[in-house]
Amino acid sequence: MSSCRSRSLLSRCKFAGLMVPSLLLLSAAPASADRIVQRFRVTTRPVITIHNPNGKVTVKAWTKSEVMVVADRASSQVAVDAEQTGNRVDIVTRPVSDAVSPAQMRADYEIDVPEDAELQIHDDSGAVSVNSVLGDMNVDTIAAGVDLEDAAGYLTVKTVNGSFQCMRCAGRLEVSSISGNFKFIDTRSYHVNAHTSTGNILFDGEFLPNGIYRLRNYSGNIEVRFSPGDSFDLSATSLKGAVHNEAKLDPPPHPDPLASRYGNSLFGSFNAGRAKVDLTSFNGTIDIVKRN
Amino acid sequence: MSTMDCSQFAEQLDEWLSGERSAAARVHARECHECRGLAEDFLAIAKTARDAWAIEEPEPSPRLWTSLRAQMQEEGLIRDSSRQAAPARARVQPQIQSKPAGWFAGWFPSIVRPAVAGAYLAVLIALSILFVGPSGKQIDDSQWLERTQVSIKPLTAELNSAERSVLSNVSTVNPILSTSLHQNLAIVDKDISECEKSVREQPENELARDFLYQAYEQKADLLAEISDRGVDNQ
Repeated sequence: MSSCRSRSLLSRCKFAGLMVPSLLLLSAAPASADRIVQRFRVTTRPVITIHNPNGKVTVKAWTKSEVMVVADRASSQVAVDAEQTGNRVDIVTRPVSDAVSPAQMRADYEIDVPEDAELQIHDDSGAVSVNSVLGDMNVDTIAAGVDLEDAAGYLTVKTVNGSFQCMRCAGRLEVSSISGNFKFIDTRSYHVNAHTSTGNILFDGEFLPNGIYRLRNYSGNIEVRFSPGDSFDLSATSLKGAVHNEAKLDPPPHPDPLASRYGNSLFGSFNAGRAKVDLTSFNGTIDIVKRN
Repeated sequence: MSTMDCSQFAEQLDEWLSGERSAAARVHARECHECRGLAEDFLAIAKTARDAWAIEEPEPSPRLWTSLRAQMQEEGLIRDSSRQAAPARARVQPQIQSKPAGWFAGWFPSIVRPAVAGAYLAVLIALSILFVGPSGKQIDDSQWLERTQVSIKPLTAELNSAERSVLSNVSTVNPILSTSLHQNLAIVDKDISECEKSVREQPENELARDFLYQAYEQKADLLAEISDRGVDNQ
């Protein structure tokens, strides 16, 4: 069970290990010269890992207890390996010789998974798109943009300059990048922690009671949209940039004398202050905007 | 001829840093440039940290260690001690002053990228100096500045060394990725430069120091990414 690296997976892997002999590889037939289709039967909460150096990775949830992998290779110089170990499916794009050029090291994937699947995706360049998967997710890219829709669970996304967009995401979100832009649209997450250096951050979602929303960048813009019915405690500081606010805030009952000593800062409660919103920038602009 | 390999040396790194050096480890260090350099780096960093902490004897914040440790585990530079029987807390909250290198125990047997590991460690040490204020004591701007300078100097050297080491091994990397990684390295370097300037101007500005911490961490992180991609493509 050497593939069971995560402690959280151990119990599942133990269970899955007992089932290995009974798990069937349903098909592994090439649909065309460079297209490979494979299906794997899985049980609840399967783990799917994808390591792809370049290409589109599209993952969608379906109602079957199966994982279907459709891979399109850019050339015959790369191989696509999809293997099942217990309740885990590992998908890897690898070179078949030492003479593979970077352009040839590409494969596009369309993967259907049960909605409770846990995903671990590494895709250096290209694009990652995940739709309606509710399990935990870890996405790591360099230049590939990441687009999540209707996701939940514990979502961890890390890029170097790839953008990130999340539509109707829930659960817990941890996102970091150096120059990628972030967009959180219709988010219903109780915990958002986002950090980018030069990227912009847009948060246009709900502030759930007791939720924590930490958005931070170095030089990009941070825009947060709120509705009149929202309830949050706000802390917004830009050391060298401006802070624009359209929310009518009540001053904090116990102001921190050191809190506003540097830069442009804003502190206060909007309505009952049920959520905590913390916005920080070094020299970027922070906009707290009333939603139309 | 050394009878010890690099992973065995790494397992004995704690003893090495404490001054307990076996004959086999001495032979290996003499013959292996990377392991010798790593051990020397750790010794230098630990000494710098001890010197700096001697100013005020602060206690490192648990949050700082936990955060950095998690980052290093994620990068595969250290192993997850939560899966081991040994008590983890002593390692999470190290006591460098009383036992200079003891907290290295168990952290680095699985080092895969010594140069980057050194950079991470440098960030860790420097941050503990930079951000751990002496509890219950007031220190003035000059002390903050001194603390900052003491920490930044070895840190910058360590990151630069890691950068040289890493970049010299990535000549075959995918050009698109190479461009992206180098552009972003330039961004992080610029952030570091601006943050350092800001911290020099306002040494007690906690937020500026916090941004500087993140920029250092980002650089170590990015060098690890570059190192990974270089190795992958060779």
